[in-house]
Amino acid sequence: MRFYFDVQDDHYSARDSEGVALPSVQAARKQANNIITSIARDLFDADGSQVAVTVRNDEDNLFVLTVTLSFKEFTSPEDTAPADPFASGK
Amino acid sequence: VDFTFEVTTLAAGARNRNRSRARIRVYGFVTTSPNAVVEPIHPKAMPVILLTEEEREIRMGTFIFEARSAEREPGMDIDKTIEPLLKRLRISANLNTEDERAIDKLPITIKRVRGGEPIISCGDRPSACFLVVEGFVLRSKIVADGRRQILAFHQPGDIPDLQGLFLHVMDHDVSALGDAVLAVIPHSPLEELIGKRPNIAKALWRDTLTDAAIFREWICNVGQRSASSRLAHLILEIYTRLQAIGLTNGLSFKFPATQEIFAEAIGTSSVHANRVIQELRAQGVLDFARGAINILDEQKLRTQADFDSLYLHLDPSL
Repeated sequence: MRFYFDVQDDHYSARDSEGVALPSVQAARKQANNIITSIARDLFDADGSQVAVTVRNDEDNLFVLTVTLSFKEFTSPEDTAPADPFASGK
Repeated sequence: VDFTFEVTTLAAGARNRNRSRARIRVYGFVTTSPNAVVEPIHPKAMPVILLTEEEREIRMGTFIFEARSAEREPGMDIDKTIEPLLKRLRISANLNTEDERAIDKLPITIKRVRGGEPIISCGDRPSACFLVVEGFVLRSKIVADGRRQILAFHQPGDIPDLQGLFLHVMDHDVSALGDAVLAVIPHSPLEELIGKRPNIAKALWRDTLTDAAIFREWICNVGQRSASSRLAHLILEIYTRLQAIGLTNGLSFKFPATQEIFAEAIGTSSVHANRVIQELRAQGVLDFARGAINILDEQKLRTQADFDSLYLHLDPSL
């Protein structure tokens, strides 16, 4: 099966026209993880904060993977770190 | 059908040191593992009969053994085949005329390989080294999940598997990047040469040490630099080494790597390598076209690459 990986980040956007032959959606997921983490490493150094990889096959969009870097500075004594920094929203 | 075979040269005295321009005919035939009929009579091999022109082209065309003396032009002292090696050794080591002559006398056979074709594989026990005469080869290793890391690129004048002289089992793979011409040098005359001529022993030792220095730089590259610095660094390394032996044309040089190959060398996914290539193009730093690389803005590329050529040890006084 052929999978296509479109990249979009703060500085750059590209549609993958070549694609890669991979055995399963799971393998495509793994590939997308590799792509997104290696791009994120460079991008965050260059003041970017968001990367998305959209994965398609020849017919459909399959899934989108995003990585976001979030930053919060403690500005006053009342600001404390949340008990669980990974707890979502409210 | 995929089978292993060898071409046996039957001409005696093909390495005639005589300066005459006599053409020497070399005959060859292809052998393969014996089938059930032949095996009881000859357990080692049986000849292959090539019936069509196409079969002949495929089986004989990719492995051509040439007698070097037949290529020699009158009045030419150093064989063209060995010239890139000497050029390279001259830059980085001190050899005298006798040393050069002794290197030129090494018995070699020419082997042509197609792009991507394996040359030696992990686990092999080679009995010869090979010198790159034309084109490029790469060294690589495959990790457990099947991904490949490219460890080094080699250019004309390099002997990528010199380590095989002392480390008898290959611990990585060597394959051709694009079509290449190799000169195969058997281990025993090379060992003899090293024993007899200390200058050559030193030059080859220096060569393997430089090889190690390049690996150290690649560790820094893959481990610490950003993907765009890694690619910029790699391009400058190739450019600098090619320039040292006169294989660049201004700021352009041939290097038939695909996006996938660059990705495997700089340790990123192919999609990420493509992103970096597009970025360098958009910034007007580099251009890649049909197996050639064109440096458009050398200063920008150097800044991007964090490149210092010291590790290439291209000067014998350093």
